[in-house]
Amino acid sequence: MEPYVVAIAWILPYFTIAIFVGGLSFKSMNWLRRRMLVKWALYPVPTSGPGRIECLLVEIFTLRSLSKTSKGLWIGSLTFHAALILIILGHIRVFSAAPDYLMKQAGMTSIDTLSLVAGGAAGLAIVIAAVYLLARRVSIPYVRDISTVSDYLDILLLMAVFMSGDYMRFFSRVTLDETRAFFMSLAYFAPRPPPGDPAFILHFLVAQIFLMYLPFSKLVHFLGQLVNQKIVVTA
Amino acid sequence: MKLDRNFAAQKYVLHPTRKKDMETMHLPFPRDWNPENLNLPQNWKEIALAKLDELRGKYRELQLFLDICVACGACADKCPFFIGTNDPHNMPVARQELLRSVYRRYFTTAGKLFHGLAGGRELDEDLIRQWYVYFYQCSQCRRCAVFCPYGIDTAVFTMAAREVMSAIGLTPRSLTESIAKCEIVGNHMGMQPAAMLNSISFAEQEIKEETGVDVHVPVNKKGAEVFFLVPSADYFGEPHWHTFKGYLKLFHRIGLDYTMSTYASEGGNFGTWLNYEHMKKLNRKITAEARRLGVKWILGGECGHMWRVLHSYMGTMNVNSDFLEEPVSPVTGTHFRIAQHSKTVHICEFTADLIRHEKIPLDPGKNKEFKVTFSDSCNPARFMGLIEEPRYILRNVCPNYVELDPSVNRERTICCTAGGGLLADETLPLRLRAIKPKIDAIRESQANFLALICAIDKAVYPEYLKHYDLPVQVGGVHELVSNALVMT
Repeated sequence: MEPYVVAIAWILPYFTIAIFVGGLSFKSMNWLRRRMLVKWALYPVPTSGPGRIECLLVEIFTLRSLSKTSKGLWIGSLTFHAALILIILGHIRVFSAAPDYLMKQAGMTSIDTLSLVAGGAAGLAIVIAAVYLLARRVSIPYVRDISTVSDYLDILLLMAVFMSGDYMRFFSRVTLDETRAFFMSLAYFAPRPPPGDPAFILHFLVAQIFLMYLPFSKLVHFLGQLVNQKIVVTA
Repeated sequence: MKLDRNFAAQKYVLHPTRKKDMETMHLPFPRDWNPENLNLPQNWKEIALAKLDELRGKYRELQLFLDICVACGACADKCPFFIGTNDPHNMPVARQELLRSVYRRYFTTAGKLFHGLAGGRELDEDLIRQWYVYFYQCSQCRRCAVFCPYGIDTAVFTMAAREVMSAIGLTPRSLTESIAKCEIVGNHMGMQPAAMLNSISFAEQEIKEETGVDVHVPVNKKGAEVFFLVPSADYFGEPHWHTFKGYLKLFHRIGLDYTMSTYASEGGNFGTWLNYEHMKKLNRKITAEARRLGVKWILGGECGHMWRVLHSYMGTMNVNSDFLEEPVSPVTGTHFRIAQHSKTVHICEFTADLIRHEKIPLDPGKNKEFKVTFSDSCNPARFMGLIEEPRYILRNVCPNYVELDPSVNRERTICCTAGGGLLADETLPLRLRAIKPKIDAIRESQANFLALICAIDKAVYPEYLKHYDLPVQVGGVHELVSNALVMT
């Protein structure tokens, strides 16, 4: 194996995991260890407990505030995040055969077709949504005004991850058996060679850079959202 | 939406605090200064950064909001001050960026290494001058937070920035003039106890003339069940005065066992808009007086930020309001659940409850000349969710009630734009621009009476309506209750 493949596939993953998990824990603890000295409920807030939880979940899963703001931005980000969730769920199959097994037990036979259709669609949709969000940032004067270098960096990095992933899915011959064997070997600290296709190494590298960068960027908003939605419904 | 690159709003800057008031309030670095020559202390930068570090260490919401904004721009055109000026710094996200860029530069690794490239900005006198302009062009109304997908609240940034500025001696006269009076005399108007008593007896006389009924207002009465608290403008302001008489008539009609106080004669709290220390100091007299008088709970009049403090801050500020009891209406027996935490009940909740139980005789016909509409105030609407109660009251006391366009009302209200310390002559042109969407909605509603539940609203709307040449009368919700109330 080439030394760079060893570095990317055998050594870096352990750092990636440590930095990703450590970074996210640090970030969330950094918020949670500070107290709420005053209340910041943003009314109207339901008076009942379950009502508040519903309010919180609706906001998280439908981005209701954005729907009141700008339909374009709302549809763009909803598409982006929904596709992202599908892709993350789909990636469980990359690491483990368990989902396949469970789905077979449930009587589903055409798992690969489902994966190809839903996963493929999500992979394309997310690139389109990302391009839209980037175009919006560049083309609308006031959004360009408030954008910083990191805003562009975030979206470009994301697009690199998605596009390398899509390339691998549509144009390379990396198989799930190969990836599963590789990731299992990493999990047992007995690394075996990764799938040989360069497309895999490329996607794996960009994805790892992204994961290490995420906790320290604005993209950590997905965790902050949970913290703040609790603040705004706590009366 | 267009941007005005000449930063048009820069000219609306508040006058500085007088040296005398800085000394009275024990503000740091009492001196003569003005917005051009800030005359800052030598080590101001260290003081400011230390203060910012302290604040972000203390408040979860501040640290969180510093971290998570992705600059999507959803808030950009929601701020009334941006709508009114098109000044890019008045976009909520840009206003936040004035503070966030300093945080990045001095407190994040990327910022320390890469400065501007990482979105950081040096804290220099130019920037602090911008802070003084733009953080005093935010009325902390939280409209932006409603549209933000995370609920990021510019009020959190504005409060932090003002706290930092007050640590280096940058405070506006519009706030400190009132706070200084309040800390010495007990209310923002600087009204002495005897003057307040005069005003109350004058109200009693007027009610006697108007209705023939003898109303007696208990003041400083120990052992009363309820402590009634109003913003001091109610004692003589126009049109606040009519609302004030409305409360007194109502309490007489239901035989409420209450008292007012000459010590805690002010419900409002301009300290809220300066820093936490002064907010706390002004608030302290309320709990102290409630304890001294031995009341069971607190009933509060129509006011805006007073409710923000009572409802959202008081419970954790001067600690113990445990000596107060859970508020229960003595007339209807209703437990006010929303007030469980603060032990303070808003007069609109109280009256709406009376009406729901048919405990007060009302003759809506008395208000038949009015086509009434209601403008939500930012604090009662977004800080305590008091949206339906005033409407319920108005529908019961007025035969003609119309709603305003909900895109600038209810929880999305654009209200007086004079809160947050902006109530000063030098900001009038700014406020007149910012209020325009609301004025348009009022015009469209064709109402001839604008009902309000905020003392600042009542003070500024007559001026706004005159400027926009709209013949609409302004008054409190309880002014209309007062009209309709059948006195015997």
